[in-house]
Amino acid sequence: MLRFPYQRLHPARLPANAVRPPSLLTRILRLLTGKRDAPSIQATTELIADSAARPFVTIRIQGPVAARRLRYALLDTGSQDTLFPAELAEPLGIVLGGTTRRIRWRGQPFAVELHIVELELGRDGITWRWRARVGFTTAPLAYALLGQHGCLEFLDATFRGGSK
Amino acid sequence: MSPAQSASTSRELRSDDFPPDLRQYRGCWLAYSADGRQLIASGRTLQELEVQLRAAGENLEEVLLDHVPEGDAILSGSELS
Repeated sequence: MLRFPYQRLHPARLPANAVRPPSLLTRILRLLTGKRDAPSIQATTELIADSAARPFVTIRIQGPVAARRLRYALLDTGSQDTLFPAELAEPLGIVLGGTTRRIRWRGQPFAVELHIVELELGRDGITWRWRARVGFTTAPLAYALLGQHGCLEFLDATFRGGSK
Repeated sequence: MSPAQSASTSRELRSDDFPPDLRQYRGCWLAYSADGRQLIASGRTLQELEVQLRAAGENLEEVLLDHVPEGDAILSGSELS
């Protein structure tokens, strides 16, 4: 059995949309209504970081030519696919430019190209490897997403968020 | 799928492993030592980063790669349609 504890990301590691400060209008309304000032950006980011504990894992991805290890990949039950940044394809020996399909994020379309790779999760001297069909996308991923297809479909996972 | 023994030296990576000045790396690719303890190189692109790693004699298959988002980014596949 592999156990992967939940991890919090450093505030600076979080994307901008997770640490957005209150707007000018919000601050004016707080001033007019006499409500307490919003916490400082520093405090806000720390709070968000606290709430961002998620099941991140380190994953190794083997392509036809080479392998790379990613420090953070999210075990993401909300994701249909397993997605990696398109920039990673070339070092693995994967040539992009074939058939793509589209995903949409905030209304904007992004290309996804599916390829077969070998994925590897390891911890405490135990390693799991499997061949998987994963997507390489130009969408702005905060980290690799290990979704149902290509990853979770092969695992029996217990998420132990309560023991983080 | 079957488990196999590995000589991996990986350990639990914690958020406090990050250097305090990580903000300067927004939009960059980072490479950490295989045990995750040390930031060893950064680059605006993965290609630029790997050129540096090769020049430094690092094993590209052992270092840990990370990309720090520059702006808004996808936190979960549930945001996609």
